[in-house]
Amino acid sequence: MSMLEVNGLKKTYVTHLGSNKVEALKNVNFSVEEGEYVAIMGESGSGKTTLLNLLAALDKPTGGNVILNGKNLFKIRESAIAQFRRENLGFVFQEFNLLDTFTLEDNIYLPLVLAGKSYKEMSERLKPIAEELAITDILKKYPYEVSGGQKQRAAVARAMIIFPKIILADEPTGSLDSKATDELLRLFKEVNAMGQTILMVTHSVKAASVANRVLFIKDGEVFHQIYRGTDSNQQLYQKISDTLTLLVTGGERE
Amino acid sequence: MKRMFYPQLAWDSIRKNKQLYVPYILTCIGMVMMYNIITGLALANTPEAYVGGGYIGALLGMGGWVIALFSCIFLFYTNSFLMRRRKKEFGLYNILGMSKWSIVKILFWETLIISVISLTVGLILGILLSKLAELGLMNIIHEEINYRFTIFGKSIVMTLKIFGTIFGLLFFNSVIRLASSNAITLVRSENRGEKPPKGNWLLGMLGILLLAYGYYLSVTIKNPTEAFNTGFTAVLMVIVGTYLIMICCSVLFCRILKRRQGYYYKANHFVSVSSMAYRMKRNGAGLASICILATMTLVIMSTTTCLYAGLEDSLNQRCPRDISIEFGMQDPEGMQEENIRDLQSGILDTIQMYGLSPKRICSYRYAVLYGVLEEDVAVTNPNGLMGMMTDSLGTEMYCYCFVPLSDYNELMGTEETLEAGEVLISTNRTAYPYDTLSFEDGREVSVKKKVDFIFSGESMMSIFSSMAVIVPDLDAALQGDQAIVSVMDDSFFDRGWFYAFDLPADAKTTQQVYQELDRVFGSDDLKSRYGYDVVSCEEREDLRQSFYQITGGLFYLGILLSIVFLFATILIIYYKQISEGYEDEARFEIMQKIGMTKKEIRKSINSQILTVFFLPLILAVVHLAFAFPMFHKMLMLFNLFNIRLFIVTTGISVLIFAVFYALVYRITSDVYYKIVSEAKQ
Repeated sequence: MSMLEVNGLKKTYVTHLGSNKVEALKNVNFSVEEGEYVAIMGESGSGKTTLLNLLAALDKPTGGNVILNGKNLFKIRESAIAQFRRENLGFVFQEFNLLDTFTLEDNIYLPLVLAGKSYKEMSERLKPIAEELAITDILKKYPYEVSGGQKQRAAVARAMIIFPKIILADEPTGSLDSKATDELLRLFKEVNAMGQTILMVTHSVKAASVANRVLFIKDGEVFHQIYRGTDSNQQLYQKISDTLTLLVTGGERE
Repeated sequence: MKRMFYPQLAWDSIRKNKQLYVPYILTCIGMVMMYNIITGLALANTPEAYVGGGYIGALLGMGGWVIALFSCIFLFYTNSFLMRRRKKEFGLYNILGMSKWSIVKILFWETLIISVISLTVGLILGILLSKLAELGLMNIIHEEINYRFTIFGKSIVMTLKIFGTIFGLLFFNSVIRLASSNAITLVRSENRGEKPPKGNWLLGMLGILLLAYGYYLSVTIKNPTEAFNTGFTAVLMVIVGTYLIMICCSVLFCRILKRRQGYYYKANHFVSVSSMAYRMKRNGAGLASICILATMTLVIMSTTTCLYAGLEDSLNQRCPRDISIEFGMQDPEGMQEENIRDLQSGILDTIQMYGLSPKRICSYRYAVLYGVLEEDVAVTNPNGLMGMMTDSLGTEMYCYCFVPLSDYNELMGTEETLEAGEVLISTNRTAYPYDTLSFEDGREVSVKKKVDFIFSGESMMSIFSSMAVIVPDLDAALQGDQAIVSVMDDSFFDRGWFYAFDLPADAKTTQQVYQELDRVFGSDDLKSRYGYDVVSCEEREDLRQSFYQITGGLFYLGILLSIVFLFATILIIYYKQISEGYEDEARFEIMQKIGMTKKEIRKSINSQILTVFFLPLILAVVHLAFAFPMFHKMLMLFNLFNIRLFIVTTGISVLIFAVFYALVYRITSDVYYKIVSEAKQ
């Protein structure tokens, strides 16, 4: 059984007066195996964000279901959903979403503190993660004191510290310069190599080319997918570019 | 057209930022109004206007300065919040090619528009309300207050001066902030994470010291006159101390909490402690203002209510019977029993003309000496009463009232006996714990018994504590070789005879008797015949009326001010919470994404709001507790010694205030929660 299964996912937005309906997602189907590193690509307005919000259980679908580790996300009671989220899902956002009232360390601890873990346990968990992400020296600093790349690495640490089933990354390189982007993508690769499942939404070809599999979304449906196979990053980059060109110039579905 | 460009732009941006500026302008209007009313009333309440007017005027004047100081700090606080929100807009103007000079022009017009609106509306409301206040006041005290048109002029000029200065300072502050930043930082300023404040130990310590010293001053104040002089210093110190403590110590406190891992890393403390620490720097000033306002409101409520409720008490102290008449005699000959008996029959004759005879007679001779008490030694001042007033201001001053035993026994209906060298003692404020009493350069006498005494008349000058010393024989005690007290000059003694009685007659007749007595014994002829120098005659009904004027007026003003302060406090808290809600929106959205449940958010919000709300109230109650001795001393000036009554009114004031406060807390936390939780939907 796959770690994550998305079946016939559908989301329709109704405009304020109820007269207009917008189909953000029509019928999305895919699955993610344990230890996979999947990138989801698509243009603005293709439904990427809607999809991610549904996967994160932040929103309810109009139809279809999402099954994570054998559990239907939308069958979980409203009151338990937050807990489910912080025990199973790690988030990395484009805007980092670090709280400026906390040091990086406290930001990373936040989900565990909510789960009622002791300081000792939290700091033991953090040690290897912080070393892996090279943020050990800056843990006591506040978000405003560090660079964008460092903030994003702290955000990754916050996602990893809960030992999530899956990390959901929403345009994680969107706010980073090229050097920090390279660094982050290298880290994602390493983290994935250790067995962490990652699902990343992006429109950066470079970011997508690090993944094992790339899904393309267009007009609310999965339009195409590419497996890395034995390709190098460069080769995958080329394939993705070609597919995107096809997508924009209006290629037919496979 | 071109000339109107900047004013137009300024007006537009005020209108577009309505949700920011409306509360701000309302606050400005409120401040102007409050200041105007209070200065107007302070100016109208002069000693010339009515008896006791000087005291009320001084009290209100003090309040006026506190409000001015408070307005300045609070408007700075609000304005800095506004500027923070506006910086982005200014940065955009800057990038679009508007020079900083032009932005300064916009700022100038904005300030001008805001100050004109605030001053105009504030002054109009102020004048209307002070007119109302004046009417109410006159209604209660049946007195024509000197509320001439010139006072409006004066108070308006004062308001314009103070608030003109404040608005000017605000403008320059904004300009300096603007000048010290560039376009890019301006545009990004709102998103830029703000540095969490480093607690400043030095300022924090200073705050604690100031507060402690202010408390110390208040607690150690010895007498009512001192309460007014030192009291002002104490109040200022406590205000400054409160600000420093709220701003610095709160940050330090949060940092200490953060170091305690076992406490800090708990779901319900984690978020609230860190965000409290984060926002204390900016909120400190606001919280301190709320605290000061709350304290002021509580003090005003409790003292004025106490005065009003204790009115009959103080009246009885001052004038224990329907009519009292007091003769001051410099010449000891006048104090001889025969002469007193003659005087008394003179009084009885006058009363008899109305076919009445006095009841519950209260009569005694006395000789009064002023000094201080050092343990069991009474030290008198060689310069008499006036010397005392200047030399011993910081200490508890005593009025020693020597009374012959025979008069005492008659007065109290007792049959005490005394040997030579023995006295009876009665004190009215603090108990006298010793068995002996000695006067400087005099003989030590033993205190046979501590007794009750009806303190009234001259011996009751309320700034002093009184001690009645009952001696076997007045002349022997004061003169000759057996004297228990020796003074350089006999004129140090204020001698006299106090005579008070009830009349079984209606108010009108009593009034007539009183006037007749006043007329008859005021004549020089009788003065020389009976050997007295001054006579003062008081009638209780007459006195009651003037008491009602003073305390009723005070009570009325107290209510008025309490209402104004209460609403000001509410406005501040409400506005503060709303603006914080908008700031916290993003923060709580992040927390929700990371997996914080709505319940947890609500809990964290509650603990934050609870602290922000009740910290000032708690500190205000502490302030009040320490200010209690000081205000208790001040109340003594009104012959009010009933400490239990003061405790009760203080308690009730705190209760009323707390109930009202809790109500606002409910409303505010709901609004706050709505803002924060709507962020996601």
